[in-house]
Amino acid sequence: MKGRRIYNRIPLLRQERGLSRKKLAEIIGVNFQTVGYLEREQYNPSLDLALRICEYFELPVEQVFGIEPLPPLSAMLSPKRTDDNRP
Amino acid sequence: MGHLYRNRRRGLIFLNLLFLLLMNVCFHLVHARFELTRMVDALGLLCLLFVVLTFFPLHMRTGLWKLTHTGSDALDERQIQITHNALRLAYGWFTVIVLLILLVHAVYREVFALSFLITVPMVSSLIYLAHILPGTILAWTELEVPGESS
Repeated sequence: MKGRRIYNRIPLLRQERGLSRKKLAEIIGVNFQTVGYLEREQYNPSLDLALRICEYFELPVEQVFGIEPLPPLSAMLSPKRTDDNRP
Repeated sequence: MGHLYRNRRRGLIFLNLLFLLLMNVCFHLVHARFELTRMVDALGLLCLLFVVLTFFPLHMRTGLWKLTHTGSDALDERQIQITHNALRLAYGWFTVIVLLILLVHAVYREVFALSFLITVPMVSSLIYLAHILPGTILAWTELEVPGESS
């Protein structure tokens, strides 16, 4: 059975911490090519691997993984601008 | 980049299996027609050389031999998943190939009263095939293999 696509923010979080794929792979205990597959969303991690990734980035699972395309982090940080709150 | 690597691997698979088949045809003819022995023997050996020459870039340099011959303790969850799938498919293909050879052997003897010899090169080829089939399936299907990174 082919599972549904799981979206993630791994490339963004990895680049933010200045890590190479090889280094991240060593930290989470997988082959570096597996990190590539995860980043391209061509492989859905097991619960154990997903939790290890979240543990390393110190973020809750829902901020790293999602079943729908994840919004950019900037959209989450700044309040939504509407015509009402414009000066 | 992954597609280019995979296309190259697919070309090597085709050549590797083609030369393996030609080698078996040559050595089979050696047994069947003795007057062709020297020439066909030489052709068979040449095919064997090409099998070896295509085996190294396809299975050793790509790391596929190691991947399919390593215990699951040394692999990560994705590698276990893809090798498991490749081994499952290889088991099916290998069974069909061996049973077809046995069927041809039986039909030759029972129906045509001819002898279809199961020769040493044929058995050696089957042992070789049993070891390379999982790696061949991975080389055919995967975009990235251990020895390559795109």
